[in-house]
This record gives sequence, C-alpha cells and structure tokens, in this order.
Amino acid sequence: MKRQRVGDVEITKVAEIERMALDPGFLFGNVTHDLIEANRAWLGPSLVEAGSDRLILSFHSFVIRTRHHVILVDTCNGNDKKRPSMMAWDSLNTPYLANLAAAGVRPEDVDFVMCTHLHTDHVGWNTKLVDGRWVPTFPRAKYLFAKTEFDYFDGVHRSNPPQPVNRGSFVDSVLPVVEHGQAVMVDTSHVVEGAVGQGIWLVPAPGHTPGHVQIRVGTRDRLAVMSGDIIHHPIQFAEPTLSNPADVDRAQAVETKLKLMNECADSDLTLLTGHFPDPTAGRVVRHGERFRFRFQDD
Amino acid sequence: MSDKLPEYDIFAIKYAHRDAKRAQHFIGGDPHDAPMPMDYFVWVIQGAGKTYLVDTGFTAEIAAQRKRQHLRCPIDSLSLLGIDPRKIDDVILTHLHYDHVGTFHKLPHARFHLQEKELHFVTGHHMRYPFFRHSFEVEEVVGIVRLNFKGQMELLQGDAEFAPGITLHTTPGHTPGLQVVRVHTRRGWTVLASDASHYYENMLTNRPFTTAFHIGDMVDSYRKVEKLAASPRHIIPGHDPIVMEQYPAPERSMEGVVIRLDVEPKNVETVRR
Repeated sequence: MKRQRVGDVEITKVAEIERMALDPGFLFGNVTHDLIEANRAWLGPSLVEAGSDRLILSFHSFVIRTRHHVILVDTCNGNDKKRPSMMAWDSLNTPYLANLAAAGVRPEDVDFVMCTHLHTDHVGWNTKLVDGRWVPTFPRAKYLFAKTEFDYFDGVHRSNPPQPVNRGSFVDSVLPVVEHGQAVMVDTSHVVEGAVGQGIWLVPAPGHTPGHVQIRVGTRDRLAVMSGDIIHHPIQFAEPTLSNPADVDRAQAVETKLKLMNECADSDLTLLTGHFPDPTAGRVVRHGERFRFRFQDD
Repeated sequence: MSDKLPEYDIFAIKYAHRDAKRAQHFIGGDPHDAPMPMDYFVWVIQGAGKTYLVDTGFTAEIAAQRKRQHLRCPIDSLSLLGIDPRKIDDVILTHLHYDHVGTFHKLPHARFHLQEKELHFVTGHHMRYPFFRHSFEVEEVVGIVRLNFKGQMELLQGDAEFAPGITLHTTPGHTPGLQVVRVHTRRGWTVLASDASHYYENMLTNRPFTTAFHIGDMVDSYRKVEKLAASPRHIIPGHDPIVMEQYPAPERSMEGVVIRLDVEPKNVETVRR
C-alpha cells in the first residue's frame, strides 16, 4: 500500500501476514460456491485462491503519524499466542516487529494503540511474551479501548464461558494491558486529535462486535477510514449480506456495513479495511444496486 | 545419522459415519441444538520399512445393529494405500470399544498391543452395568481373551515404546485402559488421540465426552495429550469430521476417504462458533 497523506498526517500499512487463504465458510456462514464463482473474475486470484474457493485475507496494522503522535491501529495476531481453536493463528512466529521497525517505528515510539475491536486478530501484538508473562509490547503507549467493547467481552469473560473469550486473546492480549495501567477506556465517538472532521476520531460501528469502531482521519479535503472488520473481504461489495459467523448482531452488522458502503460510494473517501490484501487501500463505486471496490494503483 | 528417529507417514481411513447433535457429545449437554456428526477412523502408520495399524473399526453387521452408517470395511480399505492386510504383523488397539476393535478377526496372525488394564476392565465387575458395557461387544471381548490364550496379545502395563519413534501412553477416562499413540513424523511428534478426545472441542473446552468411566481422569488425559504433542496442531482427535477438512488426501482419488496426518493441517477452525 502506498503511503496515504491526509493533510499533514501520514498513514502506512505494516503487515503481519500478507496473504492467508481461508475457507469461505469460516469467513461467511451464508456463502455459496456459485456466489464465489460468479465473482471470481472481477476479484481475481489475489483475492480468491486459484483452483479453490478459499478467500485471501491479509493481517496488518496501520501506522498513523501526526505532528504530535505515532498511533498504531489494530495489532494483528501476535507471536507465541496459543490459539488451538484456530490453527492458522496458533503459536505464530512472524517478523511483525521487524516490519514495524522497517516502517521506522520502534515499540517505544508508539504513543497510542487503538483496536477497532477486540477480536484475537486485532489485539495480538498488544502484548508479547517476556519470561513467561504477557507484557505490553509498546511500553510508552496508551491503549485506547472502546469502553462498550471492553465491558462486553469482560462480561463474557466473567461469566466463565467454556471457551476462552476471543480464543484466549482477552486474557493474554487485553487484560495484561489493563493490569499494567496502560489501558484507557474511551467512548465510541472519542476524538483522538483535533476535532471531528479535522483530526482523528472514532465513529461507532456496532454489529460485528458491540463496541466496534471506525477510526477516521480527515481534513476538509480528504477522509480516510480504517474500518476494521466491518467488511472482511471485497466479495461483500457484490453481496453485502454475507455475514461473518462471529458477528454478535448479524442484522446490525449488515446495517453498519451498508451504511459505510453507501457513504463510501457517495464520496471519494479512502477505505482502509482490516483484511484486504495489498494494495489494500481503495474506494467504493456503485455497480447496479451493489458495489465494487477499486484498489489504488500501487 | 543412524541414531536419528525414523519419520513415519500417518494415514487416517474414514470407514463409518453417524449423524448426531451437539448435546450428545458433552456431559451436561450443549445450549446449541445443532448437528455434530461423528466420523469413524482407523489409522495407518508407515515408515522404517514397517506398516502398523491403529485400531480396526467395526463390521457392516455391527453397524446395522447399532444404526451406524458403514461406508467401507476398514481392513479391505487398506488396499487403497496398497497395503496387504496379511502383511500387518502389529496392531495397536487404543481400547476395546466396538468401533475400535471390531474387525480384529480379519487379521488372524497379527499381534495386538493393548493396555492390560483395558482387558481387566472388560472382564471385570463393571461389565454388569449397561452404562459401562454398552460400547463393548461381548463376542469381541471373548475373542480378545482367546487371542491372549494364543499368545497374540501384547498386554502393556503403562507408557511404552512401541518402536523407535512410536510410543504408547495411557490416557484413562473414557475407559480405564485407553491409550494414545505418539508418532514421530516429518512435522514433529504427532498424537493419535483416539477417544482421549473425540472432538477437538472436548479437549479445547474441557467438556468431557458423554461415554465415560472417570471424567476427572478424562480431563487430566487432555493435558497429558497436549504435553505429548509438538503443538495443538499435532493432535488428532478420534472422531471429529473437522479432521477430514483439516488434512489433505494422499491423492485425488482418495478424497473424502483417506487423509494424511503427517503433513501440516489446513487453516481450519477446530471449535465452531
């Protein structure tokens, strides 16, 4: 992804896993082979694996640099995390921190970590394993968690569920941040810098999870939206009702998704989703009653 | 390099199936009224010039009695892998439930490796209770006793090295004498967990399977299996249809029937949300 400039703010992508092919049924409970076949041509082999129906996702963070701050958005899966319920993410050993360093960011440079939501593949590098304990990876950072989001998963965690919350990530990647005093609970409309419309701010985007947020960076001339998991894969522009099995409120998730797609199509905002493979950034256009995604030329 | 452990290939052959609901597989039930079918497997270990069989499945007759969907005879299916069953000298029996021992008579010359405790259990006082005996076939138990009288039973007293790179480990709970098989493969130590965990989900959520002798032991055995395997990716549950999605067929013609377990699993979710 090319470096995005919004006024004097820069946004870059740092990848943890550039491409991972996942079974379509894992991503979307209501997907069919025919739907994938019907969209294979416009999506192309970088988004649908050749010779199979598997859909290709990227796992990445965005780094926002302002005049004052370095902000990290979403922290992927992390290393050494036990995720036996999803083998693709189990006990990873990726060079994410080296990738971050190559983008000019050392862990101590990060002022804010923000997670669009608290699923395991968006919080992993919040912590790292040191002497058998999970400690915050970014020693100076304040981690901004939407209070609605934290409270929801904390409630599930306290109810003693048979499966650990978010595949174990709530305990190893969220709670240690709180215990180290680095978590700041914010409103889902929190303004991080400047003001709404001219700065960096959150917009509530419930559905996939109750406290899911968009992170917006804008000036009068340009708007970029980091949308986390509101949209997982570009095939959803052709079929917006495709729903992720993890959606906490499926109807609300579709509503949130359509609202964002319509807003994108009616404007030229730059959409930066949590999982589109390189070149990742792009804009949404209308296609009959549905949509298409136009990636920026890399 | 002669002291290096052999690296074995492992295959699973799916020979039967049954439809079931989630609540049938967890003590205490399950809040979701969703299907959770069960697959039945035998396993083949090949390497260092040897072929070993782990468990022997059940026959079409028993399948009809117990209303299971019998897909193929496990022993005849060995030919899919080019294996002549007459050339199998050693069979590991993880335990004596009907779906793990039922075709032993088709291997009349083989040696069978079983934990002695399992034989004690199936000839002991618990068999007067239907709850404990319902997963055994009395004729099969008698047949195993006869094999012992013929000297064909290798009755083990605890964890044992079966062959270089193959070890057997007691995992009581489901039955008192259940054992799992740990195999050295190209991708590391892989554990055929058999009924130590029927599904990935039993072990991962610590919810014991409903057919049980001692549920405390069963949960302890989950931990033992975890320690034996190189990683969670190296554990093969005994009856989970997800295993069929997780591993590739050795070749296209065997899809849906035979899979290879000595290769990396695909990126499949092991506990469905």
